[in-house]
Amino acid sequence: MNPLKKQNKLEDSLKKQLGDLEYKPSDSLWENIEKNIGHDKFEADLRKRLDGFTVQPKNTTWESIEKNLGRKGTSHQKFIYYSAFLLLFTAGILMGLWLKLPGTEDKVIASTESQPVKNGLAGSHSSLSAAEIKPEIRRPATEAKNKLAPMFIPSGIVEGNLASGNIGKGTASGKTAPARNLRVTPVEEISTPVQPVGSTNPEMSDPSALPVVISQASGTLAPAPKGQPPVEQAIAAEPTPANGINTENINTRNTVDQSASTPALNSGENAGSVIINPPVNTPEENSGTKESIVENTVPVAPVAVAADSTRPAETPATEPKTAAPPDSATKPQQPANTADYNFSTNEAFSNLSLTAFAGFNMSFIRLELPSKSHLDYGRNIALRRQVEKPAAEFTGSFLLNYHINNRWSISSGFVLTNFRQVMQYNVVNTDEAKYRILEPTAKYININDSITNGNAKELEIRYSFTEIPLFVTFRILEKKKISLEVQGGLSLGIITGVSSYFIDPSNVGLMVMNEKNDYPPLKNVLFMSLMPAISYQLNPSVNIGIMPSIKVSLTSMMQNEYVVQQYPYFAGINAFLRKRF
Amino acid sequence: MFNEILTSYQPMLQNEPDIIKGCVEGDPTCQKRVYEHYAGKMLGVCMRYSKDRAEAEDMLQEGFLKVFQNIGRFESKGSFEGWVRRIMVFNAINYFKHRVRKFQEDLDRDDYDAAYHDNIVERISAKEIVALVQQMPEGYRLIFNLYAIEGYTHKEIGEQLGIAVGTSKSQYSRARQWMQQVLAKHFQILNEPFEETK
Repeated sequence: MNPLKKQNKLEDSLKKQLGDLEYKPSDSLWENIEKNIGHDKFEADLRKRLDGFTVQPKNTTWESIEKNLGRKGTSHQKFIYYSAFLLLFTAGILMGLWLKLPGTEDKVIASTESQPVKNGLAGSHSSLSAAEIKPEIRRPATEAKNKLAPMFIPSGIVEGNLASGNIGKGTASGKTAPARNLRVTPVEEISTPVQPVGSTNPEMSDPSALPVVISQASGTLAPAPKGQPPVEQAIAAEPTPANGINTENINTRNTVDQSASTPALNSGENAGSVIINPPVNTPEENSGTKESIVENTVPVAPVAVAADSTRPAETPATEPKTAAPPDSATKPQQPANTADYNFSTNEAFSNLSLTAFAGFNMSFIRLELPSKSHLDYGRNIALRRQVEKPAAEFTGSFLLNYHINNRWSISSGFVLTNFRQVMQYNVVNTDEAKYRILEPTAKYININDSITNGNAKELEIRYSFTEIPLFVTFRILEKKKISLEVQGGLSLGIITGVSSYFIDPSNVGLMVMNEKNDYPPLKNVLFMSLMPAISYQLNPSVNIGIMPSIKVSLTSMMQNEYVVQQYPYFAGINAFLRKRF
Repeated sequence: MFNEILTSYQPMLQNEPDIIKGCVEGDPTCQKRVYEHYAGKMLGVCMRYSKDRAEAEDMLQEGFLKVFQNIGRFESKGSFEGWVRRIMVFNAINYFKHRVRKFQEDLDRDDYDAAYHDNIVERISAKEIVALVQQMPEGYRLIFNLYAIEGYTHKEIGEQLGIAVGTSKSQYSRARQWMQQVLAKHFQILNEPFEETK
């Protein structure tokens, strides 16, 4: 038989015998197979078990995060607050010193306590004519400065009654001069500091539509300059930077950056190295599950490269591991155009600004009859309205503004308001003095003189108010760099300086006030202010402007309800400078 | 030790759109609210990627910094928690980017005589599972987390990590086996009867 035929026969018989041969597998074999079949369950079980697993971090973790967030202006806000407070405090001190009239404490005042009415001037110095008897205020220290004439004071009256003792007998030159109680106040030209023009204003019309460019080096965000394409396009257009981050991967998940990243990857030595490209969002977003590609891609800047000598040199550009993003990286870039600057939505500024005002007010006073007196003060009020004339005086303030939004802001701070009036009058000796009732605690000059309208004598009435305001500002109109605003509100006017004269209710003699509690005592005032303003934007953070103002007191200055009530009011104009932070 | 709070349901942040908007504007109050709402869960995520709690806290800090720095890019098209979680994962990945040179050739493992079965996972607490995951070498741990927990495919893992798909599969296979054996051993230890030593 052919050997080949024998072999084929053998194979056929083997096939026939072994073809249907079956072996029963062991039980463990199936278990292993079943185990491998059900491997997804392991992952699913793990996922299920770990879903919702939370661990509470330490309390200091948030503090570290907050610290590294690099809050806008946090560090220098405190500096601004302290500086503003210091400035206001210093200004208040300076104003107080400046308002304190020279020599007022040296004024010679005829006190009613030692001057009985009946033993008046006529009894003790009958040799002198009434016209020669003109008690005048003398300020020895500043007499030469103010060119005041020496005072003629009858010795019988004033000896022992003088507060300062600077007035002596026989010191008069023999000639009298009209009482000059004027302190010349030169008009001070207030120059507001002008900030140097800084960078151009950013153009930010709609903050929600701000395109954002991710700074690859720092990993932080910065709004793109105007005209630049939005994020995805900008990133897609960027070439692969040398730091290995392929920005194209932000929008695609299929691109593997193997060229510009670690060169060693391509060498094969580090084939197992972990090279990270930021994955991309996918439409299926589910907590704890795989995310698919969507636009919510967050390009994550890599952490700092650890120093490793074995690693091939790479082009560095990675941010430090825990470094806070620098302010420049988070501040929006400012394009050249300054049109349509949106004040409050500028991400570079906080909601706070500081405004400094300086200007002049004309001071007026509204006199009203006391509500609780049965005496007739009508003549007194009429005389005072004739002799007391408004005058201009300096005013200044520092306000801290909080911008609620683009139009509304609230402000508070310090306002220094100086009230000044000029009292021009004549005096006529009168016998009526002996019939009137003098206020025992009051201080007088011209105590026995009838005060009449005229200009023979002149005195200044001064009050200084330190106001604590609460203002609301509304921006009515804003066009390019010019805006129209209106500011109004209330302020508590604390009287911090007094140098005043009141015509006695009988129109004989003048009461002198040097302090708030002198008769008639004064009290703090509640003011209401209204100030329209026109401002001009010098640069994104600085505005200057002009603000006419009207301020009226809602309450009387007088504590005593039995005397003529005084309601000061002002009309003025201020220049201001506002600095945004 | 950690304070573990097992919650199977994480309620959405109240007034989430407003809070997110506040975070975009840099409102510290809103930022803190976001942190307080998600910190616990995100630290749990970071714990799986880290070797210890200190490292996890560092990851958490960096992760939240990136959340707040990039929150302006969140477009409300998906869940905010998912977005935050992705950032945490990416940050964890970046955390190891320059530290993990290569995967270990072999996972060191003892000869475990315990047999793994699926019920083990259900009987071991999440805290213990995480602690066991932390014992895994870094590279394996990373791939294990990405595949088993986060649900990425090997292809996606390979793209992200710059490794071949086969490498990802093989590394995961080893990690998975190791994990199962460690779980089994841990379970066995927990359930061994107490023997008094004489």
